[in-house]
Amino acid sequence: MRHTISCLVRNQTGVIAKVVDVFSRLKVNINSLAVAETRDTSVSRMTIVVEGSEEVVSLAESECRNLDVMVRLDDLLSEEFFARELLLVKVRFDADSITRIMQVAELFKARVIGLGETTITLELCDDQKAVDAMLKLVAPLGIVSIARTGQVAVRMGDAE
Amino acid sequence: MKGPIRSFAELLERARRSKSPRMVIAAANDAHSLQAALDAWRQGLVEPILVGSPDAIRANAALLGEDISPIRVIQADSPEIAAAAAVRLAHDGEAELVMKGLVSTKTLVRCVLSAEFGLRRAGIMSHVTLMESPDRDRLMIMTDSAINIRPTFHRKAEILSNAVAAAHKLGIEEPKAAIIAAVENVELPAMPATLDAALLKRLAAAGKFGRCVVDGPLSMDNALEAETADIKGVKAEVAGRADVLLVPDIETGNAVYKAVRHIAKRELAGAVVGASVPLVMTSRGDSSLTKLYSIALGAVLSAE
Repeated sequence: MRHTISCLVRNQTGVIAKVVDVFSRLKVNINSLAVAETRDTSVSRMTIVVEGSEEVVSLAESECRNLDVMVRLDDLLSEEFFARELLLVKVRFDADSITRIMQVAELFKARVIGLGETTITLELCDDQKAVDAMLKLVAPLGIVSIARTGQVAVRMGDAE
Repeated sequence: MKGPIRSFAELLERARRSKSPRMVIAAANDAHSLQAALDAWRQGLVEPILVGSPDAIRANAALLGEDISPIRVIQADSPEIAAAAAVRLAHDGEAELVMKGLVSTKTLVRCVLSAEFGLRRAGIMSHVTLMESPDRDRLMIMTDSAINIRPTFHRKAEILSNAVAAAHKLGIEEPKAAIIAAVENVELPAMPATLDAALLKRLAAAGKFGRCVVDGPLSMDNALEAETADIKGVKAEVAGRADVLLVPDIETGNAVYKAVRHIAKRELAGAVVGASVPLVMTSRGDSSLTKLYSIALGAVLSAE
């Protein structure tokens, strides 16, 4: 099962390594990891997306909570949350595929942020399903490069 | 090929010399559309067919001092019925041109889009405005100021395709189309119209619009004035010689239309293209000349 784990951690050297080490030891693969400072610059938010059995992921979360750098950890599996991912994808185009690419961009409300001689670069900020769906549609046209930030998430409602 | 139509006078002349199309007026029971249709009829531009309330049509004709006895009148008891009847006539090949009378654009367009008796073709419908060039040495098409509100890239490609086809009908063998924006460079993401312009240019270079030259993005001054383009160092075959001006959205098109009419005090003509016959949709605010020119435009565009 896929889990989206939102952590608040101390913003200091080696924090990522400590958290990643927990998942690594328990052989849980991290699908994506996004880290950035929060409003309080001494604290960073780490959004980790993993896939694994309930039991192993729970164990990893429990171990992470015991880390000295961990301020708070929420598994958003059981909660409603907003999740977004940023995608930049560079697609090859020609006269036959321009219209198709632009239609895909319009469909997903992706922005065109770059135009080269033979490539067009799209930016999409959406949930993971939309990002995956758009990539599936542009893939047959010829993807030159992809950059994804991985998912970031916050809980719905007023809670932190 | 008869050569390009360079002025509204030539447009009238071309329409007069061509076989007059049968123009069906949907809800002809108002003086303004009736007068325009009868003016065009007297000048030999069209053969009108009047659809609406016969009593109201005859009363208006009497007020205008017109004898409409030679003209076919078809009874329709409401604007909706009149619109449907008019469109059905064109669908059945009994008219080559449709003019909007006292019926809403929405009602008429709904009939035109009808799967059963409408006038749809594969592409989209768009509006073309015909206006004089700054030096009055040619006519230019500006599109789309009336139908497509905020066209996507795909729709812009179809609007351009319609405009190029209209230019060909006006005798311009290889129309030069300027894709209008505020600047000459692609500015992303701030100015998406510049991206569409650059992509349309590439589609045109690959022959997607048939015989034409397309350049963009171009600002309006560079599209209209070669000297300005020279001063600004804009190198474009279209600069100063545009036959087609494709504007980014309806607000721009509407503002250009009104500015030409009310600031420059120039006449215009307009028609909706992209259906199986052209549609003439004049408004009460249009001058009588603009109405006449619009019918002439529709007549020329309706020619095979």
